[in-house]
Amino acid sequence: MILGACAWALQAAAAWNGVQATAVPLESGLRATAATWGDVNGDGRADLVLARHDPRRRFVRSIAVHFGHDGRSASGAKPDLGFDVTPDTTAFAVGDVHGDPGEEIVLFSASGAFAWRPRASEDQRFVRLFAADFLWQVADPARVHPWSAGLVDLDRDGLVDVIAPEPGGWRLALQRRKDGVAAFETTFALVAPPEPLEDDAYVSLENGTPEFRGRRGGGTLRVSFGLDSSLKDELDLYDPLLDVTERVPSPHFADFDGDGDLDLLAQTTRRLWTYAQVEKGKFSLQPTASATLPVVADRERRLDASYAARVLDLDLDGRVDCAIFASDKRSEDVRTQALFFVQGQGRGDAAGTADSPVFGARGVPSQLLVIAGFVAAASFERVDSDPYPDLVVRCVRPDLIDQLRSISSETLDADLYVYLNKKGVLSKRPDISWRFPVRLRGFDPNARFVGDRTGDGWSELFVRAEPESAKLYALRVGRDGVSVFEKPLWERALDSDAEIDFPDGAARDGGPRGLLVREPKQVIEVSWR
Amino acid sequence: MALTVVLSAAHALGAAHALWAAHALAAGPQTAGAAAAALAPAQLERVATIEPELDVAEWSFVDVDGDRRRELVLVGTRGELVVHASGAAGSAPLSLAPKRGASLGDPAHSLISFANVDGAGGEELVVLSTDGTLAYGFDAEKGLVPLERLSRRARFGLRVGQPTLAEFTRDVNADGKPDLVVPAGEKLEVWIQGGAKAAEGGAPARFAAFQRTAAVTTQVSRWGARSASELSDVLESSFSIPNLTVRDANGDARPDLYVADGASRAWHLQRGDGSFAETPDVTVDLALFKDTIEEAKVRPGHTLALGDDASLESRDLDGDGIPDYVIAHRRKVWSFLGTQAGPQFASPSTILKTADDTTALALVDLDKNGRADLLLVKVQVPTIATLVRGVFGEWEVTIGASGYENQGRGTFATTPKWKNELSVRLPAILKLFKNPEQFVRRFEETARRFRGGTIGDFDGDGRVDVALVSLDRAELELWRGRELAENTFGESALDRGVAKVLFEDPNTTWDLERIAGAFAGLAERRAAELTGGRPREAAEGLRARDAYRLDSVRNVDLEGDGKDEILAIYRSRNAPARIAVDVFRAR
Repeated sequence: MILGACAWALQAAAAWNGVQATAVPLESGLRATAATWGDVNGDGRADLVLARHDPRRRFVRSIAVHFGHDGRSASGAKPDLGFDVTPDTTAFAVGDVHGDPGEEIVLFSASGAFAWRPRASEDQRFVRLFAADFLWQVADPARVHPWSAGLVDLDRDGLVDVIAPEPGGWRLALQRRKDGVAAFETTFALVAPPEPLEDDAYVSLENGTPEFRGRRGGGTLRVSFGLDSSLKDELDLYDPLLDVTERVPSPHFADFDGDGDLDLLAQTTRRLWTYAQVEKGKFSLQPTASATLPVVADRERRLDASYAARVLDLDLDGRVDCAIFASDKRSEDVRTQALFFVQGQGRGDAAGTADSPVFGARGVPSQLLVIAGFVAAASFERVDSDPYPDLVVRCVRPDLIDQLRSISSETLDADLYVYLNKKGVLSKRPDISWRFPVRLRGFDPNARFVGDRTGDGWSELFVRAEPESAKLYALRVGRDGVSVFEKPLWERALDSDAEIDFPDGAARDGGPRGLLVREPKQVIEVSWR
Repeated sequence: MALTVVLSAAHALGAAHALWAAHALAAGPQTAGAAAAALAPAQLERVATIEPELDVAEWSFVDVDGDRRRELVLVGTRGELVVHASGAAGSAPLSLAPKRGASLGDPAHSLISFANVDGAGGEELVVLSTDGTLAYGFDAEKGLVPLERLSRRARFGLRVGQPTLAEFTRDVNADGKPDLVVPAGEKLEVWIQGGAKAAEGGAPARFAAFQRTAAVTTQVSRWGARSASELSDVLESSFSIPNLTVRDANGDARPDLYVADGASRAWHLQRGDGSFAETPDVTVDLALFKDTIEEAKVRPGHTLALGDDASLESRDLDGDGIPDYVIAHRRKVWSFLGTQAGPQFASPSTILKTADDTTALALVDLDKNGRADLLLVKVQVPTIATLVRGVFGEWEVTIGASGYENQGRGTFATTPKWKNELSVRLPAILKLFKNPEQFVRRFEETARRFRGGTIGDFDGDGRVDVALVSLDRAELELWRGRELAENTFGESALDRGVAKVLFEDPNTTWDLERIAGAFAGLAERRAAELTGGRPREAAEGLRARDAYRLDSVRNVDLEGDGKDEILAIYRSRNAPARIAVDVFRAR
C-alpha cells in the first residue's frame, strides 16, 4: 500500500502544473524594496504594486503598478502606472479608500495618511485622508515601508478603514461613503496604556550645567559608564544632537467579547488591554478591560528567543483566544512551552472569569504543549481541510551529534511540527514532524503552508531552505500518519539575494494568494492556477 | 563624556577602546594628591524638598534672572514653563513660590536649550520649533515669557513628543557668542550670530541677527520595528541626528566644520569674521582610494572586513599642531600631512602596503614618544567548525594587532614594530541563547560599580568635595577637602592602555569575566581616586528605590555664596513624568 501511495505521489508530482510563475523585470538600476498585489485599475485582476528605489541615489523612491492580465506573459519593465514618492513619505499600503474605481495607493507621512489616485487630474492626484502623528515620521532614504496591517475593515461595513499608530496610542480612521464619496472624518484616537519606567542603572556625573541628552524612551539595551573626562574628540565617540525613540504596543483586532464587533487588543509588560468597539463603528478611547498576563513580558522574556504571544480564535466560537510561547527556564534541556487560553474551554483553575475571560483568575492555560528546542517561529495556518487554524512550529533542537554533522555540510537541521486543531483543541503530539537542513548563509529561510493546491484535502508546503532555490512539497497520508513527501511538487531557482513577500489577503481556502519573489533585477509573481 | 557599550551591537573598535580604557585604569589606585587636612566633623543634611505638581519633560538649573544664583527651571510635558527660585539668604533653597510663566506653543515639536544669547543678564530659554527660534526671558512678575524671535527661518519640524533639551545653541565659531545648529532633513544648518537684526513688529531688536552661513550634510540614522503579526510585538520608531563636528583643521586655533557624507569628507574652514563658506574649502572622495587586491568579504575562517569602503582617521602625526590624515582601503594605507591651508590629499607622505587584510585601523602613540603610530587590527571570523563547536562549549575569536612606528614627517615604518595575537573567549552560544539575561545582569552589576555622584566645593573652602551614591544606592556619601589627581583618562593614558592590552600584557586571553572585571576595576579605581580611599565623612539616605528612580545627582550653587548645594533629582516609578528634588547641604 505504501509503495502504491509513493507511486501515486510520484506520478502526481510529475503531472502537477499548478504553479504559475511570471517574471516582471525591473527598470535598469532600480531595486524593488517591497511588493504586493492590489486591483489598482479596478478590472478585477490583481495588479503588481512595487515600491522601488535607485540604490545610487538617496531618496529616489517610487511606486510602480504593473497591471494584471489573464495568463500574464512576461511583462515589460516599464510600469503601467507609477509616481515618484515625496521625501516625507514613510510607508504605503494598497486599499480602496476613495470613490474612484479600483484600489488606491495609501501613503503615510509624519502628518497623516494620503491617497494616490492614478486617474485623477494632476492637482487632485494626492488627497489627504486624515491627519495623524504617524509613528514612523522620518523617511528611509532607501525604501518606502509597507504598512498593510494599517488597512482593516474595523466595523465590518465592507469598507476599508485605516489604522495609524501614533506615539501615544493608535488613531483609527473609519471610512464612510455617501453618494460614492469616501470620507475619513470619523476618527478615534485611542490612548495607549502607560508602560512602567525601566531602571537603567545610570546616574550622570555632571556639574550642574544642563545635560544635553535629548533622548526619549528606551529600547536599546545599553550599559553606560560616566567617566567625567575631557578627552579630545579624535576617538569620534558618537555624540548625538538629538536621539528620539517612540514606541507603542502593536494593535490587534479581534472580537474579545463575542458581540460580533472587532475590539482592539494590545499588550504591555504585565497586562493585556482591551478597547471595546462599544457599538458598531464606535471605539472606546480608553481601555475597557485589562487582565494580568500569565507570562510577564519583561526584559528577560523579551530576550527569550522563543517568546511570542498571539491572539486568534482557536475554536472558531467568535471570541478571541490567546497563545503564548516561552522557553522553559526551569528545564535543563532546551524546550519551549506553548500555552493556550481558549475562552470557554478552561475548567477549574483554568476557567475564565468575568474580569479575565481569556486568562482566568490564575493564568492557567486550558492546554499546554511542550516543544523540544528553540521555537524560531510559530504560526496558525490551515493545514488540513477543516477551517480550524492548525499550529505550525519551526524550531531548532540543539543536538550535539546533528550539529557535529553540520560542520561538514554547513547546514543546520530545523524541525517543522504541525499540531492539528480538532475544534479548538490541538493534538498533544505533532501530527506532522519533518526535519530539513537549512543552509548556514545570510538569507531568510521560509517554510509555510500555502493552502490546498492539489485538491487532496491537505495544504502544500512552500520551503526555502537554501538561498538559491524554493520548493513546494505535498503532504501524504500513510499508515504512520501524515508526512511531507520528499520529492517536491515544484521547484524554482532563485537569485541568492532574493527576498520573498507573502502579500496580505487569503485565497478561498485560507492560504495565501501566492507569493512574490524580489530579485535584484526582477520580481517573480508566483500564483496558483 | 559618557562611554557607552551597546551590548546588542558593539562597534568593534568602540568596544576595543572601551576595553583599553578600562584596562588602562584598572591597574590599581594611583596617588591622589596630598592628604586631606584635618577638618571638623562633617554633616550632610537634607535642607529642602521639591515635588512639583507638574508633569515634567525637562529640568535644568540655570541662572535665568542674572543674580548669579541658579534657579530650577521646569519645562512641562505640555510646554508649561515654571521657575523655582531661592529666597533671601538664610531661607531654604528654592523656597520661593514657583513662578509659572508662559507655555510653549507647540511642545511636541520643540527643542529647548539655555544660552546667554546677548551676553548680558541671565540665560535665555531658546526654543526651536516649527515657528522658528524664540528666546524666552525671566520676568520677576510673569516668570519665563517670550522675549523675541531670534529667527523665523531657523526652524525645526520633527516631532519629539514633548519639549526636549538639545544642544542646538553652540558657540560654533568660538567667538564667545552662542550660534544655532538646526537639524533640517539630512542637513545641519549653521546660523552664526552677528550683525544687527531688523526690528520686528515695530519694536527695536534686543538680540543680534542670526545668519545662515552653512548647511552641512549629516548622517541621520533611523530604526523602526514594524512587525505587527504578534501580540507581543512593539512598534518602534527611532532616529538619531549626530551633532556638528567642529575641530581646528588648519592650526589657526579657529574651529572648522567637518562633514562626513557617504564616501565624501569635507571641511568648511572658518573665516576671519567667524563665518563659514557655504561650500566646503576641502573635499576628498574616499572612493577614489582603491587597493586593487581582491575584496575581503566576511567569510568563515578569514579576516573580518567591516565593509569595503575606505576609512579615514585623523591625528597630528608630525607634532606641528595641525591634524594629519590616514586613509586605508583593503591592504593599502596612505598618509597625508595637514597644512595651514587645511587638509590636503594630493601629496601622500607615505603609502604603505600591509601583508594582511585589516578590520580596523587607529592612530595611537604606542611608544610614548608623543607621535601617533599606526595600529592595524584584524579580527578573525571563526570557522563554521568553531561556530558549531561553540554551540555547546566555549569558543574563541582571534584578534591580531600590528603596530607600525611613526618615523616622522607623516611616514610609518614599512614593517610592523609591534605584533601580537589576542583571543577573546566567549561562552557557549547555547548558554547565551538559553539565558541571555544572565550576561546582561553581569554587565549591569559592573555598571552599578560606577557610582553616580558629583564633585564641587560644598563648604566654600576652595577645595574639592565629593558626593557619591553608595554602592547599594541607598545613601549619598560625603568626602571633603580632596585634591584630585589630573584626569587619568586623557589621551596619553588611553594610548598607554591600548599599548598595554595589545602588546605588553602577557595574558593575551580575555573572557567576559575578565572584561567585566576590568570595567569593575576601572569603577573602583575611579571611586578611590575621588575619595582618596578614605572612609566617608557623612551620609544621608536617598529615596527608596522601589518608589523613585534616581535620575541625577548635581552640584549647584543655588545661593550664590560659593558653596554648592547637592541635588538629587528623582523620577517617580508610578508616574514617570513626576520628579522630586532633594537639596542637601554639607557642612
